[in-house]
Amino acid sequence: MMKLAKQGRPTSKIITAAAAAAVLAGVTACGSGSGSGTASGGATTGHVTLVVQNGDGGETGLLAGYAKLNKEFEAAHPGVTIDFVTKNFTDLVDTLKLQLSGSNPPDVTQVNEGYSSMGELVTDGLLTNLDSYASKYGWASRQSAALLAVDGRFSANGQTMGTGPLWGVAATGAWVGLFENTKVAKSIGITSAPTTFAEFEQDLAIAKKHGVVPLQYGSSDGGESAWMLATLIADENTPQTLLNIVDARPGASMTSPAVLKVADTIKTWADDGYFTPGWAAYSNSDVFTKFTDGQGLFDLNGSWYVPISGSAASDIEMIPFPAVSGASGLAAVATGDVAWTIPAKSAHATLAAEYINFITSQAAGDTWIASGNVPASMPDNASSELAAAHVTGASAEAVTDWQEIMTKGTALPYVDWSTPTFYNTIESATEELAGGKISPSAYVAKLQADYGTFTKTRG
Amino acid sequence: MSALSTTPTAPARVSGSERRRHAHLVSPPGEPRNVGYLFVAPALVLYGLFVLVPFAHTIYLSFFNWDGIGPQRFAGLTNFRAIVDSGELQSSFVHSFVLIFFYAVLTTLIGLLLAGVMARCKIRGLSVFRAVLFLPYVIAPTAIAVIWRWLLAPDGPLNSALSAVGLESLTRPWLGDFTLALPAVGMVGTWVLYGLAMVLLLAGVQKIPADLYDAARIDGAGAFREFLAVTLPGLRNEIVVVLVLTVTAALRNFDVIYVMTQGGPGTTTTVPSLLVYDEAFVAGSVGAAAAIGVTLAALIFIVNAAVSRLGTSS
Repeated sequence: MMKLAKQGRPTSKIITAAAAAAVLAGVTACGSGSGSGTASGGATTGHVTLVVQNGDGGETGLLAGYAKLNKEFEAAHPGVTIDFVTKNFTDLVDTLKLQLSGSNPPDVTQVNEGYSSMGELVTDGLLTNLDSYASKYGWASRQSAALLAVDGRFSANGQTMGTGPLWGVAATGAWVGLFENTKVAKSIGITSAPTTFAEFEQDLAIAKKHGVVPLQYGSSDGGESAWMLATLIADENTPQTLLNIVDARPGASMTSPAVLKVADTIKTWADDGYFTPGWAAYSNSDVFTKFTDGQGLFDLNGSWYVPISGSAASDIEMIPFPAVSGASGLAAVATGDVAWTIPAKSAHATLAAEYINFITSQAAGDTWIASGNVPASMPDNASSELAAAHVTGASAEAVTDWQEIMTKGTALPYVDWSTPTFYNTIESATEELAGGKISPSAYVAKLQADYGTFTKTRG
Repeated sequence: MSALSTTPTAPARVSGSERRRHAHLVSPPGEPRNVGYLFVAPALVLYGLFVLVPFAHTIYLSFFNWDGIGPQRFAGLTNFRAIVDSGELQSSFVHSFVLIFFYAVLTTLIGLLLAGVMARCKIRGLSVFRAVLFLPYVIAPTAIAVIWRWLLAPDGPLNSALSAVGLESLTRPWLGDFTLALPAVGMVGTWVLYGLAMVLLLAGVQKIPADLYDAARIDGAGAFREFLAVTLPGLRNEIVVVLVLTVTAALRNFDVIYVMTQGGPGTTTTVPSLLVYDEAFVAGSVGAAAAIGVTLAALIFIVNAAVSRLGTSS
């Protein structure tokens, strides 16, 4: 679901919508064209066209990495041509069900994590169980058990996330953290990044006093509201609080004092004017563009934005969101990018598995680092790779902190994965809370109305 | 018809027996004949296949719980009861009626004003004006939404213009304002549709006999009186057409809302068709989506039936 916001890049979802029809048309054309090519070519010359579908449209850094890896895969597999179909994230998510239940699905496709995407596709038997490939290729040794579970495990009936067979694996990872403009910070007398929640709030107040936007926040696409809620639930309480909620552990509730405390915080920040003026009219990518152009002190966003472009790019660093003092260990919302899966009706399942194995390998990790991305399977020599590829600043921090979180900290799931409709509920309720339309207690009640209803249906 | 019968290949040339054979088939001109069905069949089949069948299927689906792929479970009227029970769904229908004011009522008033003015005075280059004012209606709704989202952005041209002339106090994050977002979206609808209203009404005005205006003027009617007594009654049918088109556009609005506000801030600009999309593609509840869609279609039908009745009875 983090990806729901990724589609709102600087060009934003308007272009998304405008391009949707064109993209769909293009995809249809690609799909059918390669399909026939597979049939005729495969029979006569031994050529195979592997149709690989992704939802990273607009993500130039990721697409560059995939382009390089695809060439390497083709070189290693003579006779194989990869038809890399790029869709916008929303286009991918909204059409997957129809596409995979149809007669001509892609051979490999990205599928979003969560109940409404991967869960339903598993329920309806439209994905291939990857357990045998995982043991054949040893995927357990390249990614942590927790990461594999959060990205690709679902009970066979699709009802429980994070346990059961493996259906998908991510090639790259992303975590949600705090971007800080160090130049702006210095100009208002802040010399070091906040290490505790209290310091962070002090910095917000200082920025406000100096007429700098303390925290860039755009709510119109919901992403930042969901990340803020998740991050604050974990960092104002404990990481386990968030895990309990997403895993629907007994007693987990959105009306608990822990969530109420978060609601109070969001309301206080809004009342104190810490957010971007007119925040409800902006998407997260709108304000991130402002931020990378030098406006504002902080922005809570995801590492998918590295490598950062923009006139202030070199002043920006990325840190894990500071927790309340005394909190033990590092924690951040950190999961793989949209997971790679093999549709049940894939015409080349074995080759598809080989492809997934290739792009999620630690060797491919070098390519990911060199193209400014965060590999889900971290190569052992990550730091020297960073140096060799001259990756610095926020791009390097995105990689090194990801490694810290994976090896020493707690990787957390997105809070909106809890229910299929939670993302929209969080989006509108948080706007109403920050806009002063509802009280913190009404806010948590709204969240619980969605959360409680869904967790009840899952028993 | 008469021209056809005098052509050299007229039926009169055929032999006597053939003529008798045809005699019982040939009914008076204008009378319905079975062969007519043959001519409408292609359109009817396409319409049935792509409109009627899906519509019937949607009604059918609205009585089921279905995720889009798996088994369908009969749900009775629960999907419809949810519409009655859910505050969010109800308010989305209320928003639709607010949009009707902007899309239909305001649009028709502006169209009438323009048509009335253009009917009274001879304007040079009328067709150019007409084309320019009609232009918004020709642009794709998504493109319009993109343009207006930019115009209405907090640091967009509208607010910049207001600040430039010293009206800084009026600047707003228009689409992020809980009170103004819905009217802002509504005004975009007005901007799109008034050209259509004007063109339809202007065509109607040109059809009104000039001697009615002469008579009104001789009776001493002023511009306003003339408009009420001659133009308005003469445009009754066109007004009904305009209202039906614009009311439908208001009620089924999706693209503009989806691109401009996504239903936000909060739920202040949600409309039923947006919820259809959310239920079907986000929540995976196809049955609930179908129920909202069916309710929306019924509502559009009822409102338009009422509008048409208004036109014929007055």
